[in-house]
Amino acid sequence: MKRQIILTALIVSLTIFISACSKEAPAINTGFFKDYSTTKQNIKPNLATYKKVKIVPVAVIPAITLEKQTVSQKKMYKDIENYLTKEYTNIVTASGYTVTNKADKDTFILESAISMVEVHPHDKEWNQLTPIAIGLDVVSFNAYMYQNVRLLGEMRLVDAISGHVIGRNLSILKDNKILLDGDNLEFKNLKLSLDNWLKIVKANIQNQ
Amino acid sequence: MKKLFLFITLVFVNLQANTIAVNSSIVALDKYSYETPQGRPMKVPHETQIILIAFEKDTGAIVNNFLNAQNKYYLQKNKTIFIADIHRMPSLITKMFALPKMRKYKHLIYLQYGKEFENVIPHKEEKITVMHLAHGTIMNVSYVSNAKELKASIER
Repeated sequence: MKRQIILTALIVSLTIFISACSKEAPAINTGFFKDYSTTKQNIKPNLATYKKVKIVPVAVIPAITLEKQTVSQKKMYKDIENYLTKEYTNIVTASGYTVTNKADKDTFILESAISMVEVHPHDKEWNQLTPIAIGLDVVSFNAYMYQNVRLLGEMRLVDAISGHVIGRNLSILKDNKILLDGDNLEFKNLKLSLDNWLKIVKANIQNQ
Repeated sequence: MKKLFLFITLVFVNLQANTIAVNSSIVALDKYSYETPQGRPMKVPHETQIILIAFEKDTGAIVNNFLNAQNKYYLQKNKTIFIADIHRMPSLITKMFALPKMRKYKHLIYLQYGKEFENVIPHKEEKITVMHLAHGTIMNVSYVSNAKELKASIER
């Protein structure tokens, strides 16, 4: 009986230890959508009944842990967040909506996330939504060097009262290769992709 | 008897056809799956010029110890990748000891878990396979057994 208890305790301890050993996971997708096996899940919204927009600050998903981020990377992520959030405000205002902080019945919420994916368009076995760091590390270095990284923009429009998703867009900016200057990734290397993402956001919100 | 001989010949030819050797394209390596010690899927860049492959614990240790003493981008700067075939390692040992250790290395490792890989890659006991490529084609296959030879192979 005593031997059984010791054996059981040992097995349980080993199981917990093994689980703990495998806790460090690779970069994951943002989690905006349930399924990242396909890009074909966009919904064009019908915003005819909405007058106001609440803009949630853009989530920049660097896929580099906080303790490993350099000062310049942290600044770059903040720059991306600020730039896009500001431009969303401009798009929303230019489209005739009022920006608000309240969740009223004629309000929709604009949520979005920016991350990077490694692409290999000619490889049908490769998941084109495989996340990669926004920045250089040993895993991402070659992908950036060989121009296999693209910006992934995700957007979700949510009714402020019901919480229903009324529009969504997941887009890989395929035509915009991320080109490096030397060994650093900077905001300027991403600006073209970010601006093309803004065009997609604008197309979804405008002309409703 | 003739049919048996023909069958054996066909199997042999088929095996040879699948072997990755001099004049093989790097694309042949796309057939196999690789991931980092953290579990991220990886693809062998077709621009790679040197591929290091280790099949044993000790040869893997030679490569890892050498690379761990270099700059973390040493492999990338030399257009080199390192594949460690660990399919023979018991899974308990892999999860409890090998992976936690490999996750601490600052260099990139492509882990290969499949059984087939060993059958198609030329290798010798207690040696590290080194493939040199040009424009996506394997130009040379050699074998090294220590850090000094490894360094010379990469930096030649």
